[in-house]
This record gives sequence, C-alpha cells and structure tokens, in this order.
Amino acid sequence: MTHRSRVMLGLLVVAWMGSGMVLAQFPGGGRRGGGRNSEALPNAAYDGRFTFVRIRYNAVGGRGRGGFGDPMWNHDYPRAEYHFDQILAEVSYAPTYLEGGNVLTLDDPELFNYPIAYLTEPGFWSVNQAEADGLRRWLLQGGFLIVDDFAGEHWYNFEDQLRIVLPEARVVPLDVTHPIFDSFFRIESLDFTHPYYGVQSQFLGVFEDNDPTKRLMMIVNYNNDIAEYWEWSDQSFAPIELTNEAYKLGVNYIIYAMTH
Amino acid sequence: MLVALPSLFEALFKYRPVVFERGRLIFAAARPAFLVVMALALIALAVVFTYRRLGGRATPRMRFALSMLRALVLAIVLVALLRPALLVTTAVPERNVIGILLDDSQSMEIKDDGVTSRAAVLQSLFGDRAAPIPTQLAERFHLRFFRFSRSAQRVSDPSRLAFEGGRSDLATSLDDARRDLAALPLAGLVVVSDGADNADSSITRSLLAMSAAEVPVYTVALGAERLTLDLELARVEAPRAALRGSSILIEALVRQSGSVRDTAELVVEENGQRLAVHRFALPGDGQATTVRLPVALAEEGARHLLVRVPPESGEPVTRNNERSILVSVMDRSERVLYYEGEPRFEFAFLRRAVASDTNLHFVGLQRTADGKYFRVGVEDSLDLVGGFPTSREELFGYRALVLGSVEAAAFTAEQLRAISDFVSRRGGGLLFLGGRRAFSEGAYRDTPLEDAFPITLEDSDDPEFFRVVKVAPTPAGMGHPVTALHSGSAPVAWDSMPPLTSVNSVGRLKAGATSLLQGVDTLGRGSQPVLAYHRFGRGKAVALPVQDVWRWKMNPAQPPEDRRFEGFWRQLLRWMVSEAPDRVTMTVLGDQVDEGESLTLIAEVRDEAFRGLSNASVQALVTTPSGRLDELPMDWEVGSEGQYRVTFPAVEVGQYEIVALVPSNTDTLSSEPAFATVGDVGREYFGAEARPALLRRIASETGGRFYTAETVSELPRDIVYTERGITRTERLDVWDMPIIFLLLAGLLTAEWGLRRSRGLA
Repeated sequence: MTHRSRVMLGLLVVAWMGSGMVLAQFPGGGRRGGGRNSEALPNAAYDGRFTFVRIRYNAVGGRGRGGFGDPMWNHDYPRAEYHFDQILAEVSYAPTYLEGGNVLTLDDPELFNYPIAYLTEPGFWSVNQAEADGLRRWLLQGGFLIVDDFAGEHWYNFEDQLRIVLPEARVVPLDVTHPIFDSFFRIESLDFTHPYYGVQSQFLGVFEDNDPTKRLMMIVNYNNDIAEYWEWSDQSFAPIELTNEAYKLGVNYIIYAMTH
Repeated sequence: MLVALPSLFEALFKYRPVVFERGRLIFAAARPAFLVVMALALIALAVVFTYRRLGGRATPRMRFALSMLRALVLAIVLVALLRPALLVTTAVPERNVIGILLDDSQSMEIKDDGVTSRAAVLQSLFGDRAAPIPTQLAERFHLRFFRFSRSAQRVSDPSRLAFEGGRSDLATSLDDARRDLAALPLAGLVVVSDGADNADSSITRSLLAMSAAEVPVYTVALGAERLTLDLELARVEAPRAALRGSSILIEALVRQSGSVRDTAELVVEENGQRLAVHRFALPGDGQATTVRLPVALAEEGARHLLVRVPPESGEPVTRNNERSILVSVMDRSERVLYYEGEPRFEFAFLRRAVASDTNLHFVGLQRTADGKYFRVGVEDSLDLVGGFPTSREELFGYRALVLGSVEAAAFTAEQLRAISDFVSRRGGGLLFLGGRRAFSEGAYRDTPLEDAFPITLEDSDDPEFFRVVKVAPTPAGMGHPVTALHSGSAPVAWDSMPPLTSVNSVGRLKAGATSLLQGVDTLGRGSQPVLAYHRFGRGKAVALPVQDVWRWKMNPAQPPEDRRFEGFWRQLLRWMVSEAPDRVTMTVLGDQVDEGESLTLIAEVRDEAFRGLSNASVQALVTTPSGRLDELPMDWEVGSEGQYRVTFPAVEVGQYEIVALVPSNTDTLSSEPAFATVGDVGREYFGAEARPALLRRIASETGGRFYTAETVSELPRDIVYTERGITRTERLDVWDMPIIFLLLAGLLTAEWGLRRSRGLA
C-alpha cells in the first residue's frame, strides 16, 4: 500500500466516522471526549523527575476537529498522562512525577528542563516562528518529541509545520529492529491499527543530521493514537492486549530517550 | 667596614681572631695558687683601707665606684703578672698540602651585577698561581688544585676552567678531593664556589666523613644571594602521559627577584609553535606564584613541550625562564563503566557527550527495573548481563567507574569492597553522581565505600531536600583542565551555564579533598561542593552531587553547536582515566638528564587483580637515540611489592624510549613506552642564586672558616692554624696585648678623673 493510498484510506475512514454511525457512542464528537480540559492545570515545578510534558499550540485556523473552541493540543489530557505515569513508575525505576504532567508551549524556555515532550493531533498543529525556533533548538540540543494521534490527510499539515521547524528533516519509517522497540519491552510486531479508523499504523522517525545511525529526535505515530488507549485504560475502552501494547510503546519511548 | 674589623681586632688583641678560636689559654707564671689568693685578699684589703680613709668626704656611692675601679686595675695587673698565653697548633711550613676546589659549573658564568661574572671573580682570586692568595698559601703549603661540578678532578693549571659543568655536586666533589689527597699530609680544603648545589647527594653524609677525618674546609662564597632582576620558572609539573586529544594541566611555579613588572605570560610551545598562553599577575620581589595552564594535546607520541616565561630585557639569567617537559600522548581507547541505578537523562546525555571520543570506550549499564538492565558498549553479549561486575578481574578491566543514582544496597558487601579497591589498589578513577539513590540518600554511610567519598556523608533531616544551585569554579577549578571550559579557543564564563539541582544533602569536604566547582543555592541557603575529588590510595575519587548535569546541554540561551557540555564530560572522564595504570608500567626517574648521568627505570608489575607480582622476570627494552636496542634485566626491589629497578648510564644524547617486558606462560605483557631525554638540561641556571648558607655550614661543621670575596684575603694567615697535617705547637703570649694596657690606662684615668671631679685628688 502506497503512502498516497494510505492517506486515501484514512480519508475514507474519517468520512465514515463522520457519518455518525459511530459518533453517537462517543460524547464529544466521534471520539471519547473525557480528556479534553480546554485549560491546562497548573504546572509542577521542575524537580529532576520525569514529568510528562504536553505541547500546547494554537490549532490551525483557531479551531480543530471538535469544532470552534476545540484547541486540539489537549486531546486525552490529563487522563492519558496520569495513567501513563502510574504505569511507567510501576514497571520501571524511572523516578516519575505521578500527578499528571505539565503543559508547555514550544517557545517556553521551561521546555528545556524536560528533554521528552508529547505532541498530539499534529494535523491541526501550527507553529509561529518563535515556537519553531524553540522546538528546533530543543530538538538539536537533545530533546525527544513524541508525535501522536493523527491519521490520513493530517499528515500534510504535520509535514508543513515540521518543515518550518526543521526544513532539512526527513521523516523516515522505522521497522521493528530499531532499538526504540527493544529499549525496555521487546516489541515483537508493529502491526498496529488506529483505534478509531482502523488504518495501519506507521512508525516514523526523524534522526539527527538525517543519519539513521545517530540519535532519534522524534518518533511519529502516524495513523495511531496510543494516548487514547492510555486515557481509557481504566474503562475497558479497548481490549487489554491493545492497551498493553500502547503502554509498552510509551514506556519504550521514554526509556529509549533516557538511554540513547 | 667589615673588612677593617679583623685588622682592628688584631691591633687590639695582637693576634687574629682565629688564634683565639683555635688556641688554648694557659698561664705561664708558675705561682702557687695560695699566693694568688693571698694577693687577691691583699688587694681587696688595700682597696677597702684606702677608701675608708676618705671618710665623710665622699658619698657611699662614690666610695664604691672608686673602689671598684681600683680593684679592676689591680686585678688586671695581677692577671698580666700570671703571664697568660695561648697554645696553638700551626702547620709546619712546606710540609703540608692544601686542596683548592674551584667551582667549574655553568652557574659561575652568571653576572650577578650585570658586569662581572662569578667565574671572573674566581679567576682573579685563584685562577693564577701568581695571584696574591695562591702565592701566600704557597709560601707555607703545597697546593693541589681541583675543578669541580658533578665531581672533582685534579687540574695543574687553575686558569683553565671552562665553567661548563651541568651540575654542582658539592658532597661528591668534597669526597673526591679528600680521597685523592688521603695519602698526603692534608692541612685542609678550600672550596671556592657560589654554593648553588643542585645534586641529590647528601651533603650531611659527606660532612660527617669530613669531620671524622678532621679535615677543615675553608669556603669562599661568590655571587649574590638574590639576583637583582630575574624571572625564574622554578618548577613545572605536568602529567607524564595523556590520552590523545586531552587537555593536560601544566602547573608552573614562577619566582620573581626584583620587581621586574606586574604581569607576565606563561607560554607553552612545541617546535616553536605556540600551543597555549596565559597572562598572570607576578608576585612581589622574592615571592613565587603558581600558574596553571591547560594545554590540549592532539598528536600521539612523545611530546617535547617548552614552557617559558618570556624574559625581561636586561635579565642576567634567561636560561631559567624556560623548562622543557616530556609528555607521552597515547592513542588508545580507555574503558569507562557507567552504572546508573534508574532511567534518567544523565545516562543518555553523558553517553552522547563522549560518543564521538574514540579514546573513551563508554560502557553503560542502566538498571531500568528490578533485575532488568539496559547495556551499551559491551564487547560480548554476556558482558554485564547479570548487572554490575561480581569479580575484581572484570571490574579492574575498566579504568574509570561512574556510579549514578544507585543505592548501596544494590551491591553486595564484596562488590562495595571491590569498588573501593578499584580506586585504592587498582588506581582507577571513581565518580559519584548525585541522585535520589546516591550519597547519604543511597545509604552509603557505614559501608566499605564510605571512605572513598571525597565529601562527608551526613544524614539529612529533610527528606524532600532539593536545591537549585548556580555553579562556579573555585580558585582551584579556574585553571583545571576539567573545569576550564572552552568553547572554541576562548574561555567562556560559567555565568551563562544554567543552574543545576541537587537532591543530596552533602556534607563538607574531607581533609585533603579539593573542590573544583562550587554551587550557590539560588534561594540563598548557602553553598555546596559540586565537583570535588581526593586521592584515595593509588586512584582518585570524584563527587558530582548534582542530578542533572545534562541541563548544561539543554540550555535555551546557547546555540546547539555549543560544546561546553561535551567538553566537560570528556575532560572529566579523560582526567579520571589518565592516571589509572596498566598492569605493567614503566617510569623513568628524572626523565631529563645530562649526558653521562644515569637513568633509573622503575617498573611495576601486577596481576589481574592488581596485586604486586614480585617473582616476575622483568626486562627493560631500551631504544637508544641511535636506534640500538638494549635489553636490561630489572631487579625486584626488596620490600616494594611488584616493583623492579635498573640504572644505566645515558651515554647518547637524544631521546630514549623504554618499555618493560614481562614474559609469562601464555604471552608477554608490555608497558606503554616511557621516554627520557639526554642532553643539556640547563639545571645550573635554576636556583642559581649564591647560597652562602650552605658554604657557611660546610665550614662550620668541619672546623674551617667561611669567607667572601671581600674577606678571603685573610685566608692565607688563618689557614696556618690547623690541627690537620704536620703541625707544631706554639705558645703565644697574650699578657702584652695592647688591649690590656689600654684598659689599665683607661681605668686609671677614669679613677683620677672621678676623684678630681669630687675634689679628692
């Protein structure tokens, strides 16, 4: 399946979901809407522990898929990080802030206290120049960005915004042999599908100097939404095996960033 | 004035001071003792009777003064009537020998006043047999001339001195001359020198032998005790070996005589090319200061570095403005083990910082969960698979060890002892990083590893201890290669580095520990050491009690290409491995000597657990400057575990390369090459001020006398009074010394004057 055909498939799935056949069962417009605090909770002060950092941005055109006022950056917030923190602390020795996470903008110098950050819904992501400069410097100095929760044509916006940040960057596919899939849990297969759209997930990456032998600066969960599994892991939203796999990916991402 | 004093003394006391020093007082008049007592009693009675007659015409005080004056006069007369004399032994003319040792070393060429050299003064005094002093000496003694520097050699013509000796060894030279003249009636030795001895020989031992043989040594000091205008590189210290690409720390002690200027430059050059330069404030007149300068060494091999302080115009001695040092730069990969007890960013950032350093082989072991490890840099799939090394042989294969946030309970007691021995016995470098499981928080108190910490471990009463500290170098850290941050070639202020955080309530520095970085709490709650180290046995242990050095990399205020963070870690780890020895090492004691001097080689041989091997067959493979290969068997030094030694004469000028070879049943172990340079090392120009104190001591301890160029004219008459050689005893009357008559006249005049002033005369 070509990239173009995957995008087309994604568009069909979105159209299907938009038809309302599924939306009725998810308050909030086609997706489970529990995690959508439009305002960020107060940030915790830096104390050296791993703190889940979510990137806040202005959605393209000032509105997102959820309609006017849906900021998009907050999808699954704060339940996803809250649940993920508990799991990370439970399965590993990583000292972890357990009360959720921080929300920061890309031009906030505070971001440099946290070398791992999470960006959701990049299909609606927009960066101004200050944010682009901030993210670029953060990435080049050692930051590791997890990009999640987008599919189909949202790719184009992500690609456009990334080009502003790192004009020279190439997003390349990762296969299961990449160390990030064996940094804590051994991920046997990358045969994932999007929790809503059913499309085949792709794991993509951006390397330092576009050299796959160098540091992975960004992991891109295209056609995937692992935070969705985290958010609803306490409510049997998805089969436990799938939720486990989502957690495994997340833990691996964190441990990878702390070891490589 | 000083010159006139002996003459005045002789005018008053009839003889020279040396006669009174050497002579024994006797009374020549053979009078029974009771007669003397009777005479004294009569004198006293006469005095009392005389002055009682004065009666009420004088006050009691006046009577007492007059009686005392009269009594003194009578006493002096009595003593003179006893005919006091001095018995002295003197050399029999023409029967004795005097050995004259003339300093032939390079330091004699120094012109203390900028005009006349010490050598010229020596030549004018003793360089010509027809000169006044040799002539006067020759009237009574047979003279034997020696020139000396490293040793003493007989010369027939004292004018033919070259002043090219590269070393001044007074002890050996005195021994040589004494032995050479042992069969002759030696009345004494004369040493003419600046006293600038720079040998390792024991002068005390030589003087004891000289005293036992009762040979008096007369010393003549030439030169000034303080050079009027001089900058001297008194000492330069640098590591003998370094990894390629490392910065080494050169420590130079610069001394100034005369206030030449306020600042100077310390320059490090190689083959005329400037490697580093540092301007520093000069100390005051007669003072010294230590200057530290990091120098990066990129090329492998034996590096001859010239360290110098450019001379001021008009400096009489410029050779002491520079010293050369020899650093062996090795291109090899040193294994460093970093054990991190929990997933955290320090591991990733440190790993990245040294990833491109081909001379550091980073082995990472991160405990990600209970019994689960992430390994990186291992050479074998089974390496560290079970976690931290359990055998000393495995652990001692590394040169440096970094302990991250890992609690003491993660190790067995034997592992903790092995880590301690890794530093103290193996000589490795150990770094303690801060973290929630480190230091006191990791319960290292009362463990076998507690002594290795350079700072004290104290229980914190605050379980949520957290400090944000702004880090700055201490004075010791200013010039240290680890903390002298460089970005490109320009030093960058520490001010722009982000603050770090600490969760370890650390104590104070232990005795002997050095702090290189200090952190000041941003909320004003005091300061704490951030980077401190101490020697622990053969190795060094370093503490870095902060949890996030990586914040120096994640700095929004600096460009991504800033390399200060990488430089810090690379220099720190390189510094830690720099002195960690191999199992076989070779050291040259004094790796720069003059031609003909000896080179002493020391080899140390250890087994895999770094216990000394004292039954090995060790050979030194010496490659001489001409390319000849010599194999020298080395002898075990009794009492020094695993240490072997050999000494051989360095007869070729140039660079020697020496390797220790230890054949075993399986293969032959060899050391890294050590290097030595043979040639003119200019030793004579360092510490070249005249040292009359040493010459004074030699004269004093052997029964001789000390002279300067101004007083040496007294020598020929003094040296006559010796007890060594063929002598005779002379009686010299002293009752007729002019001082006695002057005293009598003075006392009588005083009495008469007193009486007259009171109307009694």
